[in-house]
Amino acid sequence: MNALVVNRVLQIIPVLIGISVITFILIALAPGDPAEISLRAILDTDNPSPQAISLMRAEMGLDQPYHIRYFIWLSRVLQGDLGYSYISHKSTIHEILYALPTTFYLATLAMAISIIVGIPLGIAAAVRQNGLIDHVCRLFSVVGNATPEFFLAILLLLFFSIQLKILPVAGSGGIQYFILPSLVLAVGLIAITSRLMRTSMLDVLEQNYILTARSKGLDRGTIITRHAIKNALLPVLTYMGTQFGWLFGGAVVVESIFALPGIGRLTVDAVNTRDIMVLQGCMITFAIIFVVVNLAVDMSYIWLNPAIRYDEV
Amino acid sequence: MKRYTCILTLLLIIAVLALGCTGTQTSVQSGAPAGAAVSAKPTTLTISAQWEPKTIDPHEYGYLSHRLGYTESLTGVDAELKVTPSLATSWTVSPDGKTWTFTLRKGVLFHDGTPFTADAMKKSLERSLKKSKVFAEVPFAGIEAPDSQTLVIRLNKSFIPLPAYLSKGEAAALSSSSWDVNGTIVKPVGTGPFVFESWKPKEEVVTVKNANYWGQKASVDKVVYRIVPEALTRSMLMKSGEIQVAMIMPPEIAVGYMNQSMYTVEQQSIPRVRMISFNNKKTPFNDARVRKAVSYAIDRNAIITSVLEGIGTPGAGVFPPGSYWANSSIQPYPYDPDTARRLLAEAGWKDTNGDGIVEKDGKPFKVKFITYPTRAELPPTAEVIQQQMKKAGMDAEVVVMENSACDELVKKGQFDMYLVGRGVLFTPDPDEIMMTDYHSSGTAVNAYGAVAWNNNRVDTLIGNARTIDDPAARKAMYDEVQSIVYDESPVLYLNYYVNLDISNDKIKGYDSHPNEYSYHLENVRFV
Repeated sequence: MNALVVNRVLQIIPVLIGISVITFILIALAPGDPAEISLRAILDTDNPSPQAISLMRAEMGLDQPYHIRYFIWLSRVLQGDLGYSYISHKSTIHEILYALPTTFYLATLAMAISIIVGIPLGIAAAVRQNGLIDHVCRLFSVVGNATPEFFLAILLLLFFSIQLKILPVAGSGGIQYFILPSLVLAVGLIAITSRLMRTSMLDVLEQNYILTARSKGLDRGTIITRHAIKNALLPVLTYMGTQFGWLFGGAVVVESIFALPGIGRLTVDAVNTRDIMVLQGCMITFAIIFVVVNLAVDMSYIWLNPAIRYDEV
Repeated sequence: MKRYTCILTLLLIIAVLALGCTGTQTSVQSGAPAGAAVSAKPTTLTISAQWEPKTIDPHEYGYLSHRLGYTESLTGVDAELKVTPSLATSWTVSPDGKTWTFTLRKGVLFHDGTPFTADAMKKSLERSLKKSKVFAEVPFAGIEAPDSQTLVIRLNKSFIPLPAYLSKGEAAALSSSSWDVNGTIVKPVGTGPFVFESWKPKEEVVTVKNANYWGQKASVDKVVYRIVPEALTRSMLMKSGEIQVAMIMPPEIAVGYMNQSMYTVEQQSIPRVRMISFNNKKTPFNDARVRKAVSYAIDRNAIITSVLEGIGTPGAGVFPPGSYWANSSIQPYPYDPDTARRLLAEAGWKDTNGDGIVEKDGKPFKVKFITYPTRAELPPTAEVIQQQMKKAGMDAEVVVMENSACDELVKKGQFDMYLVGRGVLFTPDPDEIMMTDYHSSGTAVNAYGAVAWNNNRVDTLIGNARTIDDPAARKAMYDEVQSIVYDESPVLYLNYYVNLDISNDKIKGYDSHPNEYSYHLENVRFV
């Protein structure tokens, strides 16, 4: 068990190096002069002067060859210095720590809603296969999954904020500001979670041990709650784990619509302004979140199914 | 069963945790949800646009502090985009153009109560030069404060646009209490009609009224500027009554607010023009007649009605009609496909095989027309122009790609026409755009403007205009440049961008500025 944790934490090192190299290459391959693109954002002009561009190139170290630039950056990171934003002149760590909590609440809330709604829905659909709930659930999944976040957000805003006037339109602050955004994110998740839970349940219900339980004379309710659900949760949990990671980078549309200062917006802004150190910082943050979440999912497997023993593998 | 309830409890804990965390986040004064009416006193004006200060230091990132009115500079910019007195009441320049003497306004106080003096301005400007790259091209030699009302700026060489550069937000007059011993900003302390109060990155900037302002004092007590990236969200905020002004709205949303008594839609032509750069070095556009043929083939009004929801003014030159620097004698090319065909024929392009496309020396007319999607109206505009050109016998292939990818193609000369949206008076002086877009030193290297084009007369005029500081004399020279460019058509001007700001009937006096130099919120009052 401890070995697993140590192993996973060590695994993160090659992952981080890999993604930082890819990010670096992608930015290098992107067309246009990064110094000029950054300056357009900083100076609010279309045509920064050649003098300003050469100053910016020097600040960004663009006069160095690519590999030297990468190793300079890497050596700073190894000393715990993630650099600073060329745009705001604040440290990368400051920028990320400022943006992370907003996205964390948003993602957690969306995840909680999708678990609370999606899993019972999936169970109900599987238990009453081809029943009314199953059909409604199927319809909801198709519609929910196919509705663009943007469109759904507008519908919810029109209803809750303009018609009923019970929730604020945008901004951040108390919980009321997070209800609509997390609901928008949750709808897509519920759609998939419930389908996955249903499929997984149906699969489990056909297993021999369920037959055994039934032949023992256990009643249906006990079979489902004590034997089926826990086993059926495994694949759903894996999916939820990856989705939680995705939510951090993928919430950018929702963050934009609801004007939330999250890390998705930070990342997209960093791409648009070629703010390379902040972008690298965001990518590293995403990688760490993914690894931590996956680790947590693996841990929960042990708890859900004691048959899985990582140290024996 | 025990474990099952355990899962549920865990989920509940997570949910409560999430709720609890959000609750403890920074408190928001505008916590009242939708529809909260603005009470009689104190009055809070809430406005919203997408512009976001990247740092709160005006010397690094100055335009928003000027817009919101908590900073001012030596000079200002009026609605005609002319440089005007602000904290400096007048200025003179030595005959060699190297020594500028500014007389400062008397009786001005910084927000911390200290007097605005030449010495304070000198310290502030010296910091500006260190902090911002805006002034990289200005040949500063030194700043002196011979007495408390006189500021002398010395340059290494003549630089006529200096007053325009000094109007920028990055040249704001800040009290030295604005920064700490390391020169890091603590809080911007300026001289404007509003006092900076707080900033939440990517969320809002809050200012309060400056009761000791030297000019017209503000009517509202407090202003909350909300940063909202999506126009549709700003529209929702407007409808819910959370804001009184929604700025920079797209035409498709703004038309929904027109002719509604509750709302006013302010239309303001801004110094940003939609234009086509020709590759003036390469066949077919190395011939001015062919370039003019394209101009005659385009129905500028049809583009405005079909793509821009009818909001826009057809363009003739680089500056919008309301601007001081625009040459008012030139009119947009009329839609005239017959003249277009005649000009093409004169240039040797005729449809000999009857396929509807003109040929020359056996080769059909086919050009590469590039544009980019970040300005959403550009690709559809290009498609309309493609159809219009086809009617006059010209075949254009529209290629849409990323902005910087387009720029690279242009720099390599691998294009024929490039449709762009170009801002032209970021620094409120024509010198910059004249140099980059028309002067041979700029057209040889830049991706915008009259690419690879040169004209000796234009070079002389632009060069001479840099040596005199009399605006009227300079305008005469720039007018001639605009006439030559109009006749030669190395660049084709389509129309100007229009800022659409929506305000509701709770307020009066909101008036947008053509380059958003200032929102002039001191003029806004609640009714």
